[in-house]
Amino acid sequence: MFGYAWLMIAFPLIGAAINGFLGKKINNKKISGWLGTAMLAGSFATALAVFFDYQSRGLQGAERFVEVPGWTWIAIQGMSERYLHIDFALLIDPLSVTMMLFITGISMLIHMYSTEYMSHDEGLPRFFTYLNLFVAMMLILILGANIPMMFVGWEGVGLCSYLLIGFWYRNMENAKCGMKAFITNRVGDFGILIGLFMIFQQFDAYFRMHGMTEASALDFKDILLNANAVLSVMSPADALFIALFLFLGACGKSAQFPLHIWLPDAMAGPTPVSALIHAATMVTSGVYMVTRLNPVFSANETSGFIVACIGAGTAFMAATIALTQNDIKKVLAYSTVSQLGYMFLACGVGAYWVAIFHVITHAFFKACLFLGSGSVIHGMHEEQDTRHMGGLAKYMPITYWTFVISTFAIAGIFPLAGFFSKDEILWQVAIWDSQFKGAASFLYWLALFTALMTAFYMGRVTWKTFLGKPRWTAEFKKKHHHPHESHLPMTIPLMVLATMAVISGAILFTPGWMTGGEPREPLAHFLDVSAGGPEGLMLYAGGTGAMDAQIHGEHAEPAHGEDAGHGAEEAQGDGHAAHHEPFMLLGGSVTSTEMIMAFGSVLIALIMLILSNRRYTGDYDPKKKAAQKAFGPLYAFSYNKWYIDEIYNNILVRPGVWLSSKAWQIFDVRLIDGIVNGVAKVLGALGELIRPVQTGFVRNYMLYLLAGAVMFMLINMWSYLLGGAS
Amino acid sequence: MSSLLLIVTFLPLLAGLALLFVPNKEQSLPTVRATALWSSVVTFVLSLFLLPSFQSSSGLQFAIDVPWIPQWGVNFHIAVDGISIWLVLLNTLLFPLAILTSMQSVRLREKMYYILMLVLEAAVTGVFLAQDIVLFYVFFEATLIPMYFLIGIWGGQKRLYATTKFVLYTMVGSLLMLGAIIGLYVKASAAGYNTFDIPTLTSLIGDGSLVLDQQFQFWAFLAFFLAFAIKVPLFPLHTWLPDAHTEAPTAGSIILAGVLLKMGTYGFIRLAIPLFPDAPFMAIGPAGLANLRSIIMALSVIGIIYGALVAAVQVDVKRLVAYSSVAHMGFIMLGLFSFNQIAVDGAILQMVNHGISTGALFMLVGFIYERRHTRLIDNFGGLAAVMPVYYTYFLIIMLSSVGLPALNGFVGEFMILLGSFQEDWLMTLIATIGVILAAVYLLFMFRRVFFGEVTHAENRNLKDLNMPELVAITPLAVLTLVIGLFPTLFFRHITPSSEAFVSDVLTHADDDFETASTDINVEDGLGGFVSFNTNGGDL
Repeated sequence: MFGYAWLMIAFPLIGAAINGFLGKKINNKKISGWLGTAMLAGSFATALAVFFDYQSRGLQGAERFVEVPGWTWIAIQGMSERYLHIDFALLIDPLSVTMMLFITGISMLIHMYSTEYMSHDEGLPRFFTYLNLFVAMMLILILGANIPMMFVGWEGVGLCSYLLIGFWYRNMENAKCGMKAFITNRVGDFGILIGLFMIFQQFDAYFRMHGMTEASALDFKDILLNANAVLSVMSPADALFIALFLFLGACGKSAQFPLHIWLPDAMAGPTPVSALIHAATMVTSGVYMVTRLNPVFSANETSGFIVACIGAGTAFMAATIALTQNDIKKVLAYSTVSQLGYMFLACGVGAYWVAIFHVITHAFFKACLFLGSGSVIHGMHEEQDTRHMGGLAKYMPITYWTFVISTFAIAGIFPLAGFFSKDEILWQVAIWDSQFKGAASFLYWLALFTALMTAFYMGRVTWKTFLGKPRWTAEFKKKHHHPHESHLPMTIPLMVLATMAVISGAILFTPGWMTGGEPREPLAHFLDVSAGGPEGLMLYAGGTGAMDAQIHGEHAEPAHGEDAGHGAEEAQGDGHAAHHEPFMLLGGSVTSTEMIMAFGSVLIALIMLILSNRRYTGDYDPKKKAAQKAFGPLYAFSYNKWYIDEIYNNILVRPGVWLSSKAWQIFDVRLIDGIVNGVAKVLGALGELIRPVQTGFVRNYMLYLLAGAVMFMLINMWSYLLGGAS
Repeated sequence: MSSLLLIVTFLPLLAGLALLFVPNKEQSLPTVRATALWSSVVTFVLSLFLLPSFQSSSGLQFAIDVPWIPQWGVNFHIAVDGISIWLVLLNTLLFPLAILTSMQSVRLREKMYYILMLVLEAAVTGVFLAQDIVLFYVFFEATLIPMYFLIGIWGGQKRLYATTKFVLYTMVGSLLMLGAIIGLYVKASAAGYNTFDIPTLTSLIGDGSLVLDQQFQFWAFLAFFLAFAIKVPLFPLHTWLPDAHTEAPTAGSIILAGVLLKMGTYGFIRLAIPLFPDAPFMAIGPAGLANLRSIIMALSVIGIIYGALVAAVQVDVKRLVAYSSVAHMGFIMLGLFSFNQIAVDGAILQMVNHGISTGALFMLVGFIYERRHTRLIDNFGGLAAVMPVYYTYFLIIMLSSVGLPALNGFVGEFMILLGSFQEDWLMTLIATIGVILAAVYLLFMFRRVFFGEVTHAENRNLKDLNMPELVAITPLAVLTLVIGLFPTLFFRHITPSSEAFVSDVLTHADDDFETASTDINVEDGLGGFVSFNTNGGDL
């Protein structure tokens, strides 16, 4: 049905192949760069086509999961039994459609930006090769129809990220950062693999038991449509472990504690890479995966709670670190870690579509911020330290204004995109109805406090960079006089992204207190079946007409499906219209509570932005080290990133290396080889005794063979004799 | 078709014998090289013709079965099935490539060198085709002689130590195996079956016509086990491997890692397990807590972790790759002995995969050794800028070895772990950590060799890969992607053969369960879906 969706992946692959194999021959950076961008434009156009096509078909229920066949990838077909069947196929469903739209769109803008940003770099064809390959892998990740295919993309983006972080490989530090990213991600992949094995074990057993020979235990569609049936017969411990192992994988890719350490270091790559990979797309794949397999995470309230805690905790930790960093990209990196924490917080409380909502808005404003920082770095000729900036607004107006808009968006200022998504997350935490309700109120306050810090550190980095007195280095002033605004290929993406950072929130969702009645939530309705909405929950429970059609191979009557959908909505209540009560009703209706909470958080953010403005403009001088003096050890704790890298180094890396070399020396070199060489010496000595003449070893060997043959013959004769006797 | 099998086996040998008559002169060297190369290329092309007429569902085929030593029941019986066909093809593919790389590097006693290579090729093909135990043993031992000289004459500085160690180790195992073979023959002929024929014996034992007592099975299996486990090599019998690899000439390492190690794992599939199917399930140790199968799985897992850790601290690239082999072969052993269909299929494919990627890694190390005459990681750095093509190939092959999805290594490793997880989750959990470690040691080495500034002046003007080198490495790089994306092409032939193997073993495990003799550990034999919470405690 959607066969042409493969084009979306094929375009960037073709681009990568052309630039990879012929880039040197073409030897024209303009052609290479615009070729890469054009391929992405093709991808984006395909994504749009898929979206409109998907919408126009009016698919219902289980039909909303459309598998696009490719070829049989890994299949073990026995005489009568099918042991394993994994297709190389795509899954078009609301979640993948949503993801592919913003991924191809933003990637296209970032490619365009890179044509200018990287225009002075000799390695430009190589850069576009990796960048195109990255997008292809990212699309495989979100479009893959089964877990192994997702894993292809999962590892593929990891590889491209490794190559791109270490793009300027002549500097060993960059290469080290790339390696750190890859290996940290591999730790997460360990979790994915174990989670995958467990899913296979449980689902495959179930499918066999029920004679569902066509179902594949690793296929997303089959997993989702049978989720509740299998999860209900599974032991709660198994369900919990599956969720936790998978979440370990999500922590790796999406930079959550304790695997967040690679992301800030990943800033060693060229800035467009930071924007594309480490802000807008790759790091959201953990959130994608959790949403994709949401029944597994919802099966057990404990796993949800753990996810929420890690999310909120990481959000808080990263925000405290971001407060003191001086490198403009480091601040943004920690801010990304922190925002990803919010997304997992939403996943943890079961508000999967809200997590995806924040993924989208975050992609716009964070990409804009990163590209803005790239524009600054470009304009300041490779200066990244905000202490040496200041007063750039005058020279880089477009960069300045887009940066400010995005800062306001991430800070959650009404009515920008971040306001809608972040406030909805806070609200969902507040109304979370579970055995951990008490703890959830703590998570709410933690998240709110994190929002406060977010507004402050984002204000800090913005004002410090663009306002106040210029603190440029003498060398910079001598060489370049003053910074310059970037050219159009760089500023157009900034302006587009800033526009999206303004409008994308309100388009996708409007809360009830603004509409004066029911909330307007097109995104939630669209994502419903994929993200655990009311209809989705019915599908996972397997009880709908659509589900029956799935088993018996008939088509469900649309009317019936619709009725069922409505029934469920009424019965279960819309998650947002909130028949759950928030944990701290301030009197009055739910709607007014929500409104008060929203106003509260906007007010806090505004105050923080103003405070940071007062502090970092005017006669601010980093040389005074006012903050260091005022906060002492707290400042150091934050500045040194909670010492987590040091801890890992001392408890994992160094002992690991020590142990490995000791193990090798003691075991291989001394013990085993000691024995072997000892035996050899003894044999050698015996040989000397038997044959005083020094012999070559081959002769020895021949002798053995001969001895063997003789023995062989003797025994054979003996057995003949035996046979004759009996 | 039967004669094709004969030609594929003996063409290299004939070419080698023919070379004996070429005069030992400088002028005749081109002839020698060309003969070696083209005879191996022709052998490969001919072996490809096995594929179209291969019937995946009909077991052993293209058989040639003629009496050899009739009074002992020894036959010259060769045939190919869905498992061995891929190993034969791997072998016939790797030899021309190895010979091609040798033409760039070997300058000492070349005629002798190529003769030995061709003899080796014939012997290895013979091992994979032999369907008679004596014939198998003859080929198995025959591989030792050329390899001994290849390392001993064309090897590095410590070549004599390495080659002696290699032969000593291997011989210990194979002598014990010889004893067990004789014992088996005695038992079989006492029962009225005067034969060494592998399919015959396997089916006799499989359907219970020939019953071997438990005591004998145990010791005979142990003898076979030792011979094959040394070849694999299974931890802790691996210490010959790093020395042999480090000292061997490039082509020697390619062949050693590529096919010689596979003779060990293949031996388990073809001989050790089918002939003594009860042995892996026999309880041993105090209170019958363990059985051979669980011990072998444990050793495999230790090998995976240990090999990876030790690889990480090596300073010599070749030694690093050698230890990585220990880890990778551990995966294959784990998959085989889990006796799970998915894992066994994965293990068999991984035998081919390992041959390709490790063979290619040794080839790549050889390329740089030719230029710099060193293999120490510290002597390199920044090569990505100097040799971009070399860098790209190294990257692809390294990623295949790391197990990046969509490349070949992933498919095998993934299936091994997926399958063995169903049988023993704890072992698999630990083994999966090896997947992380593989990235650690390979990326760590890769970074120090290729990234950073060029620190040694000698490396500044290194030439990138030349045409013969490209021709040698490209097929392997392409194969990593082909197998990674279309492994079903291989499984189509593998599965029917491996399914018979697995079901035979499991039948015996179940029988053991039913007869419920006290010394049989039943839990491991049940191939079903044992829950996450209950299984695995038996180790």
